[in-house]
Amino acid sequence: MIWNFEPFSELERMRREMDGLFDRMGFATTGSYATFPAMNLYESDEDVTILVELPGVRKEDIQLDLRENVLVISGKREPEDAGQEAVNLRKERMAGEFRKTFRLPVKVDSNRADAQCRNGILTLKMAKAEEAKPHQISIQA
Amino acid sequence: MATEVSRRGRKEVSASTTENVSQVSNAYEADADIFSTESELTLYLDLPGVEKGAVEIELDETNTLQIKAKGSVEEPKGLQFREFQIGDFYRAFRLGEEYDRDKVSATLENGVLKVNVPKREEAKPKRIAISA
Repeated sequence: MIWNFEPFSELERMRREMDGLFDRMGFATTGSYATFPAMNLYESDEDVTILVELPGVRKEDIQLDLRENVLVISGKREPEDAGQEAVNLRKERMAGEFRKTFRLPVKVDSNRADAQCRNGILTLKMAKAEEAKPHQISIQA
Repeated sequence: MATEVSRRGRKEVSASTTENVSQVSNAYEADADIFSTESELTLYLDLPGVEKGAVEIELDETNTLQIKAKGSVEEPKGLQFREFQIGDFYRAFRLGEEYDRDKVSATLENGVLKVNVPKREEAKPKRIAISA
């Protein structure tokens, strides 16, 4: 087994544990879960791509707002309706409203952004702003 | 159950639970909601990035419901920040004896799998009408 070195995931895990602790102490805000949805960020010379896990969320229920280099993903995941007489034996899936704010590592061109939703994965691809792209400097002499 | 909800069940499934699963590698635990009624069990599993036809569901003679799913997310290059792993999914539940192995049905929509496991006819509660 190969383990990727991921310092962020360890921090994230600790943060989630703290969230869980607050939940148990009764400080939780109802219907909103701080770390949902989970996302990954990828960067190439030309663009920034974000994958977001949004299973069961219709694309009409997802809102993406980009201002400067701050991205806000918000929306609502409907809880499953199993009928009145159903007993809920297990509940692990987040339901309700969500909102996540994320600062992008570089400036992007909001006019050249493309978002696709497929099988519960949202792919958001944004072209980097000209000044954020790497430039090669040629040596004159 | 705040602890259950806040746990993101993306821990890697240990080798002991996957040793009989040949096709699923690098599998992660799928988050699940389970509901029970008098006549059936309904499970919802988050399977983001899984296409229709890439899911295998089996309820075996030991009453173990196994769900395996192959992910088909193409990961871009240049990872900077990760909150979720990309791979396959696996989950198993031990059910009671009252469920009908031959009548399990499922649908996959928008990355959520819904599995229906009906009880056997003789296990369903029967209402007896009072005739006089």
